[in-house]
Amino acid sequence: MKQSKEIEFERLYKSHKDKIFRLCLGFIKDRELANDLFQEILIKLWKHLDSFRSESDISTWIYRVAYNTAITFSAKEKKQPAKADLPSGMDLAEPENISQEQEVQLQKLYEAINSLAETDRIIAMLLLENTPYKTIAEVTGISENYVAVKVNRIKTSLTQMLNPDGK
Amino acid sequence: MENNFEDMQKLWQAQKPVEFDLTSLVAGLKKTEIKQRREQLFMLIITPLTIGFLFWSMPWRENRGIEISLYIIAFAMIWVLGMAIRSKVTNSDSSERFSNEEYLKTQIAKLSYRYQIAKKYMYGYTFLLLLALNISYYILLEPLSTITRVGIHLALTLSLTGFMHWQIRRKVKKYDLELKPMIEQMKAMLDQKPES
Repeated sequence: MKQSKEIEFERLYKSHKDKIFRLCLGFIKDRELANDLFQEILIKLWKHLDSFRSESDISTWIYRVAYNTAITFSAKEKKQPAKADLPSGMDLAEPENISQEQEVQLQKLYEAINSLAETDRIIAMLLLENTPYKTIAEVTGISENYVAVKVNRIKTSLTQMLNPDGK
Repeated sequence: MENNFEDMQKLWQAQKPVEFDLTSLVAGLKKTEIKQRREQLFMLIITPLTIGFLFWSMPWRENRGIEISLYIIAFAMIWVLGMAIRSKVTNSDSSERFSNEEYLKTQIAKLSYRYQIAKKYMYGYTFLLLLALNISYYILLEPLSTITRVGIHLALTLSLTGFMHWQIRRKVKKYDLELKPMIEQMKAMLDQKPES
């Protein structure tokens, strides 16, 4: 019989895996390293799930764990991360459902995101996930008002970078 | 394709990971958890085991000097173990109230402490080891001539100092490559943060 921790983990995994996966790719473009980061985040979520006390929204907690893990992971770059004994074939997906033109656009989007300052990067990624400002503020540790100010700048900056001719 | 923000969101959200068996994933995570616990347990028991072995194998009851040297070694090992645990254990990953800024500060402090252990405290550990070993050797080598004893003490002190210095230098060099850039990057991230 499944334990309540397993049921809870499966629930949060199903609802958040795509977002966590995209956040990994936003931080580490190399798919193999992004896979390692994805695993490291899952390990931390599993390990600390019992300590989640519902004082904040589960999404905020997940993003916070994911963001903090990503920061240290990207900082240590290619240093070997904690590896999980996860099933084989758990590679992050190549976006098969994406056309070649979209893939080119996606590459540009990654480049644009990577050119942003570290805090702006996470804000940009959370914005792309339609995350509320309140959650973004809680994850990044800056005020909601300042998030709003940053959002406008980031949107303009990304749009300009992806569409330099302004067409 | 127009590059307004809604288009970017659609494009971004079109990326999906491969679906895989959740039961295998949970089994893998459980296995990893057990492995990590085992490693932590090993780290915790290896020091008391070594100290226990030393007390078991050395004639400390017969001589006060050997007893003192064993106490010094035990103290040095526990001291280093305590520092190693302090530099690793953190609840920052689990706490939902832990802000990103606090996380960065904790990580910087933790990594800097690890750096400090290698750079500074390991020389203290070396000194304590040398002191303990020289006390023991002073007693154990008593039947030998003075010149031989001085020679052995000198050889022991110099070789251990040289070895430990080499090990510390290697560790510091490794940290210069791995920890220093991490600390600097995290400090830069903290500097970027406005007052909220």
